[in-house]
Amino acid sequence: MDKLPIEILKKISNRKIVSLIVIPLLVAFLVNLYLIFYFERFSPNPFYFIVNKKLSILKKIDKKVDWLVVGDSSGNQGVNPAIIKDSIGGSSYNLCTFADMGLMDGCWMLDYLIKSDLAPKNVIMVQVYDSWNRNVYPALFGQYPFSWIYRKAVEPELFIPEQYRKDVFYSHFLPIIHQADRIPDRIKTLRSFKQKLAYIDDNGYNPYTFGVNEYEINADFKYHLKYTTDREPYISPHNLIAIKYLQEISENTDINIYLANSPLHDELFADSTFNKFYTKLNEIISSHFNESGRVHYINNPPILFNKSLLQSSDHLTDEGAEIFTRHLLKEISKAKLE
Amino acid sequence: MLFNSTVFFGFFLIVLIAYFSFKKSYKLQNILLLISSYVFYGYWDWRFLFLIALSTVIDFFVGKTLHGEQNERKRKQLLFISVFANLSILGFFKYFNFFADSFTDVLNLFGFHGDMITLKVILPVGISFYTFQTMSYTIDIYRKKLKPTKDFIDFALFVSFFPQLVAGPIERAVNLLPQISKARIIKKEQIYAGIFLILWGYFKKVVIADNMGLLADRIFNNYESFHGIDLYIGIIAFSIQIYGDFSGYSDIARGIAKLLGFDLMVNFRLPYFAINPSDFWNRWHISLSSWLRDYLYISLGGNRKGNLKTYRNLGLTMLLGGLWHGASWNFVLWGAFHGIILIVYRYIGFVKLPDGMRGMNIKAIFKRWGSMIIMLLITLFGWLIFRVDSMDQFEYFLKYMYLRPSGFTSEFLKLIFWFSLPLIIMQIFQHIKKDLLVVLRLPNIILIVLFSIMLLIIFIFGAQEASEFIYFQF
Repeated sequence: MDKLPIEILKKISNRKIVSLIVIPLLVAFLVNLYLIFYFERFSPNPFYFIVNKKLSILKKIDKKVDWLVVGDSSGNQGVNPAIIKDSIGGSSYNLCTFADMGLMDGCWMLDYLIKSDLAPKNVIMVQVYDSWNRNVYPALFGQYPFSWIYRKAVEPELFIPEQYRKDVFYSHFLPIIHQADRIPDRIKTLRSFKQKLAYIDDNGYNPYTFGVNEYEINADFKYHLKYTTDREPYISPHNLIAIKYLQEISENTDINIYLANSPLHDELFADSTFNKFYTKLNEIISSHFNESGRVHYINNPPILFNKSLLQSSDHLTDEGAEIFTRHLLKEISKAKLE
Repeated sequence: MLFNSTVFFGFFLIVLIAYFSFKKSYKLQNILLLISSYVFYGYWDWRFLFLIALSTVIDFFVGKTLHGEQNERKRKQLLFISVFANLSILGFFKYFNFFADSFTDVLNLFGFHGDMITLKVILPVGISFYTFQTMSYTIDIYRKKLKPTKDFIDFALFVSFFPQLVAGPIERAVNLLPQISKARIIKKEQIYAGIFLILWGYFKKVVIADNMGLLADRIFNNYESFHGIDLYIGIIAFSIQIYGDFSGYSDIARGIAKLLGFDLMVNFRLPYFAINPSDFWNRWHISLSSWLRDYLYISLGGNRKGNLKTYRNLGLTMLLGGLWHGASWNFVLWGAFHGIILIVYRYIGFVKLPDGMRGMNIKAIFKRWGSMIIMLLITLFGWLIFRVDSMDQFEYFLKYMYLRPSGFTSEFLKLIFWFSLPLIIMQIFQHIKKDLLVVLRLPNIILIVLFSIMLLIIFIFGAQEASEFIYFQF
């Protein structure tokens, strides 16, 4: 047979062994250090990027805000603070993130401002219908400040299982492990990333200006139809904790809270199965806020949009966001009168 | 505890520090390693520590008694106790449901309604490895190739040594026990080789194997969505995955052992460069193939009793070798396939390297590479049998494996190319120089750069969540 390969040991000095161990580890350490700072601004993970951006805006707030907009991605690209400011004046910021955080991070951001003596006068909380049954997605914990997760610096408090505390640590201090898998994707999509996600206004608005993609809308439509079939609506334990917090805020402060349904695709809302689910969910949500004087449940039923103004079933284009923002302001005026 | 997990890093660091702090006493080191090995195994499921302990106790006392026994009948009885005990443990935990289900299927085939009890038996990790390892001890004592150890701790460590406990290499007592029973002198060359083996092992596992695994799973788990060249790609991806995964684990195990001063046997010697099936089994999972050769094939008579019996022995050995891999008919068929190939090659006389393939002339090189390619294609076909979940899937592959690309082919080929390229380059150099540690000949500065790049690639391209090694399921 062809001669089999063997292991031929090589002589080496102590110095060389040490250099072979230390230098690669040092290189990895330095790369990790660089990534800690780089990813805080430009995380290759689009979810992380948006959370980091919104948190950096939050930390820069140094005056009491008139209109704080929090919530999920439907609000992130659906509510334009500049329109609020132009319409009714006052300062406004959009700190919406993702449905995977439910109501929780909106409450945390609100609490952060309250504890910093910068309590906003009004809070608009935009939530898509399918965020209500979700508990907070642990992978996102790592993007929130250490003190929020480990030292419970903000309320409401959330019990985070030990396995996810590890993720928080890795996300903050070992991005080379935690986020580096996205680097190859980022390199491939760098240009489009810079166009799409990197553009977030200083007021936090993340406009969608890249045209309507019918395929995406149709696929999302099917997803939501499937989601609401053979399923009962409910509110997740984490969101119940958040609701309790909002009720306490409404009782103990003079902050006005406007809990708004996200915009919706008209064809989706017209589907009977979806509509039944949605209506039942709204009844459940309303029941929690019936006696909360300062928490107003608005945009119920939701304002509907056709495909030409949508990116997906609940995400609007920039033109759609203008309509939605103005609609919310009308809803808020109506609520104030009531 | 997986090698590619943060828990293991912490565990190994603590063990290493404690190990070196006990360097004046190898007995204390052995106790430390034994406890560590039980912690390592128990981390997965502490309930199955009882099985390792049972196997250890039985074989230690059988070995001791066997050595002192002169009566041949009694010697055979003692050996039987060891083999029966180990195979019973293995048979129950690994094969009970398989045989029960198969028996039921046979009954149903003949119109009888069988309803065998199927137990929810958990397969203990590593059971196929440590039972074979400990059986080799008693068999070697029976064959008077080995004297038993008097030290129970040493023997217990031999059975449970954590670097190779759950996925090999399956060590022989003649190799490992003497290393356990004396003070280890850890040479710099060993550390040098160990560092490379660990790094290269992780690279093969988390970068190459895990990424190829994603591609293989995508094709195999959704096979009806693919056809043509994509199906070939699925098989190639799996062949890279299983090699990277298993040889990666072996390298990490051997590298860790080297840092502790132990030399474990080489388990892979560039198997995809084999020119015939005998050569392949001298290169692939060597610890298992040599175990099967020494304790099964030779016990059956080997090639000493004429051609027909040789073929029978080859077939039976490979069939059982396939069954060793798992309680599933495709593993048995895979074993049978390799048995048939071995028999065919033996029949045509291509067992040793023919004269026409020796030397460096063009014709000889061409013939050698031609043989390698044929053997590789045979191996790839074998991996198809190994990987499929059902007969339908196998038939689908055979029916739709034509040479036509799809819209995915280009993307798949790029993935295969980029992830297999480092492996191919390394293996070509290892093959040309006949040295598995050839890369250590590079100048130090180049090695530092190479190691740094490999480490970064492991972090960036490696799987985020620790994924199990394929051979853990065996």
